[in-house]
Amino acid sequence: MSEQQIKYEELNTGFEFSPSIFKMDSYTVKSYLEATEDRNILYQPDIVPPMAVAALAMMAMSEKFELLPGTVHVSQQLDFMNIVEIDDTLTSYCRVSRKVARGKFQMLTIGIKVLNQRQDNVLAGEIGFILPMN
Amino acid sequence: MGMILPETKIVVTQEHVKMYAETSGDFNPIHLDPVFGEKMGLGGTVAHGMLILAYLSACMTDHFGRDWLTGGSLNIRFKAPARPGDIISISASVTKIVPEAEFTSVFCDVLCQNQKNETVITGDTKVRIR
Repeated sequence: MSEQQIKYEELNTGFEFSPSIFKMDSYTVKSYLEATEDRNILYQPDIVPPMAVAALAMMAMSEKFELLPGTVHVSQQLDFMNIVEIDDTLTSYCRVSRKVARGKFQMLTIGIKVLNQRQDNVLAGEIGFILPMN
Repeated sequence: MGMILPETKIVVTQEHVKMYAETSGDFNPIHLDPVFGEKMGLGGTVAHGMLILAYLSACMTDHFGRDWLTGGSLNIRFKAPARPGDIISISASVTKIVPEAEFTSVFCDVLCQNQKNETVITGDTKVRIR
């Protein structure tokens, strides 16, 4: 059963989401490579594109809280640190880095880091959103 | 410095947007429902920003290989949506090369533009080459 989503109003700078665990299975990676038309042989047979990791980490994050209608993903910072292989089990950690009002909008920045089953850092970064103020 | 890496062009299709939604779990109707996109003033569906960013990252992998996977960084802004039917040109130009003890850092400016030369993504990347 999925956790109850946190309301946007409850998020504050420094808020830490509970970790998410997900596996990079071969079906997901194959689907991702088809969707992105990425035919680089480097990924054969078992390397996962780093943006596939980022996409699944963002999906895990988005399940944690309620994004308001009108939210726009405006910026993305990512560092790729270690190769992820198919069937690796990853844990993502997200934290509200910044939540500030700017006129009629709010800016929300969420920091993210992803570790593999050996506790190696594989990805880190920040995601920036702009939301309309109610 | 100033070296321009080979440009890549890719056509955004609704089919790929749908496939990306299924893979990423992002089923926001702005990506999938043209009627909803019209209602939102978008003139139809728009691609996931992360899909276009995936194209950019794929180009960096083409240029830098495994080094991009183990020492790549990107810092970008989404400036405008890409739509099905758009032809996205992805370009990168080297701005700085810094030799360090165990690797060399290569810095690039990156740009994704549509067929009208409108900027979709702008930003910079860094890759540590061993």
